Amino acid sequence: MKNKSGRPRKSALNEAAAGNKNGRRRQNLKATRNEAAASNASEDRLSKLPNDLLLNILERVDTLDAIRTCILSKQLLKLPTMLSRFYLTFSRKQVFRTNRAVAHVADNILSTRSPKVTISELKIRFVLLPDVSLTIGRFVARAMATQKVGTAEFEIVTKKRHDLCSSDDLLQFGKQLNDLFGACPRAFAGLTSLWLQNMRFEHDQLVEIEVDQGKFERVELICLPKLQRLTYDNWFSSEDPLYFGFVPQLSKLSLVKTGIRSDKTLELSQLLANVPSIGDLCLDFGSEKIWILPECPKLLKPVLNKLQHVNLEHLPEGCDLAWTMFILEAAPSLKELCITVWDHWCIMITNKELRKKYCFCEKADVKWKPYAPDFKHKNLAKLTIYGFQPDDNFMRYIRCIVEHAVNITEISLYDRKVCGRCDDLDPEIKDNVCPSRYPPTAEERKQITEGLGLASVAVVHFRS
Amino acid sequence: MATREAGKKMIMLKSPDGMEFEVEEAVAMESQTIRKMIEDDCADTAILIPNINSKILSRVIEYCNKHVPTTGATGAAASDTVAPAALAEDLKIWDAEFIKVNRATRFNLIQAASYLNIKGLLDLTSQTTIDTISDNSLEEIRSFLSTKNDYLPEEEQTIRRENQWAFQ
Repeated sequence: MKNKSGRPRKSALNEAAAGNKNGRRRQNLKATRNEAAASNASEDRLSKLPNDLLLNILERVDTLDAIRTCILSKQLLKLPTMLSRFYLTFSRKQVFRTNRAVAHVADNILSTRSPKVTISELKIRFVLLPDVSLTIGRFVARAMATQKVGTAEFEIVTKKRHDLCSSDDLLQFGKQLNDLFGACPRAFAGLTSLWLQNMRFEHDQLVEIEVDQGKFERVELICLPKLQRLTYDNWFSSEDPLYFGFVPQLSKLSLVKTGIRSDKTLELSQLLANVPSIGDLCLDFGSEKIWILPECPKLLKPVLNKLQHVNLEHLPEGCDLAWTMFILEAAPSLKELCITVWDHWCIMITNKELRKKYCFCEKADVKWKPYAPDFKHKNLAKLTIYGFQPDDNFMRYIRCIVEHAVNITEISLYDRKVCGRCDDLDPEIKDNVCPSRYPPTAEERKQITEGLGLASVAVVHFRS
Repeated sequence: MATREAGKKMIMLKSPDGMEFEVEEAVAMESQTIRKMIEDDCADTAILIPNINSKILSRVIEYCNKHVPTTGATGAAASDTVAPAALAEDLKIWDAEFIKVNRATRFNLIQAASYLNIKGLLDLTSQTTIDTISDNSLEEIRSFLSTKNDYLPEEEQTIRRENQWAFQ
């Protein structure tokens, strides 16, 4: 082995020994491990690595540990100001030292570093305690004001575990978060992720909520008198992801979920039991399993009574569509039904092994039988289908709708939707996408329209 | 020299202490640095790898051999028969054995992985180094990382006072 100067290694050892003799090198008082004992003789290696490699090592741990490590030598001491990733974790046990540690990071590291060095990642996990969280909030607000920050994440935990929280505790934690938010809105404005637990909010003016990738057991909306719109995009709960208490004005609900085998099939009659006025419902199945149960009209009518618009997105291709009729049966006020049938490959997992590993389902028809085969629907005026293909499945479905919806005036048929990202798919996957058979010519379209055997052919429109 | 053996393109890598290693091109291209040289056609004769001695270079090649996508050694694509999860598990166990080396070798491997731009190896060596840090006292960390204390006694007192939180 060579060192830089080309001298034999022995001389480096002598130097170290000499250093010891002069008292410059601290003796290891208690070398508790063999490895530790052996290192007395080894030369100083870590600090010989170039800065970028040292930073690469240090950015893998909690930043406070990284700083602790840098205190070890003068050469390392300058590194913390060059860090671009910060992971700060303050556990319930360490509350005591949090303030001083944060102050240290703020004063000694952020304020002395070059503003040109971007903070690519800032993750802070802390306990929601009024003093401590205010210190952290202000620190982050200041960091965001003075530095370029890439992704920023707060994970806020409460001082009590969930099973120990009373309902007053939940309210209090919710209020503390609101206070923190009010005291340092700039810190929150720059966040890219926010993780919360054990909180309850009372909010009498809130009109719209969007939950994106909500890793909650359940979101309980207990009293939101003004809430009108709610979107929940992907939940990770095996129970009902939502509970509604008093939401008298909630009229638009969007649920988006890529379902796997273990996901609970939702029953709208229960989910919406306390929601009196849903007018607009959007369900997006991500081209995978249908996670909604086609219930009988008797159960559903009370909750879907005011429903006027329904949008069913990303229904898997090649599966029977008849089950969607349950909505017509249960929603007498329905005016518009829009369905999109699409195996959207760029949002799907296509690798067979991975599909198995993550428990995706094989394609399957949803079982359904009409409860009232002769029922007539007076209000449905518009049916829109994206991803129309001239096959039995669609033809049967359109005939079935027209048979029941006696006042339908417009049936719009579109080709598959176009997605910009699908172009970038792996060619191997792309080759497996079966080409659309959407009829391109007026002649074919006429034939299809006639094949439907409708009283009036004028209602059918090919829009693509 | 780039030669062909049983249909596979071979590349010659030379260490500064004069050793030569003949490796499959696919294996050598695990290193993004070498990949770029090959793609830029700078690799028709042997490639000299500066600063990495033969002992370290042979370990690096051992790592690349194991981590090259599995259409190599066994002939048929291994991924057809072995589940990816099992394969990943196998690699993890292999990595854990591979990195059981003394600190000097590990630090040399970090530098080699950085120069040759082999992300997997850099992650493995850096992570192993840092894994020694959590939950240890500063003195222990100091000895694990073999970092020399270059403070004068009075400097050390100041630094301890200024960073008291770190010593609790």
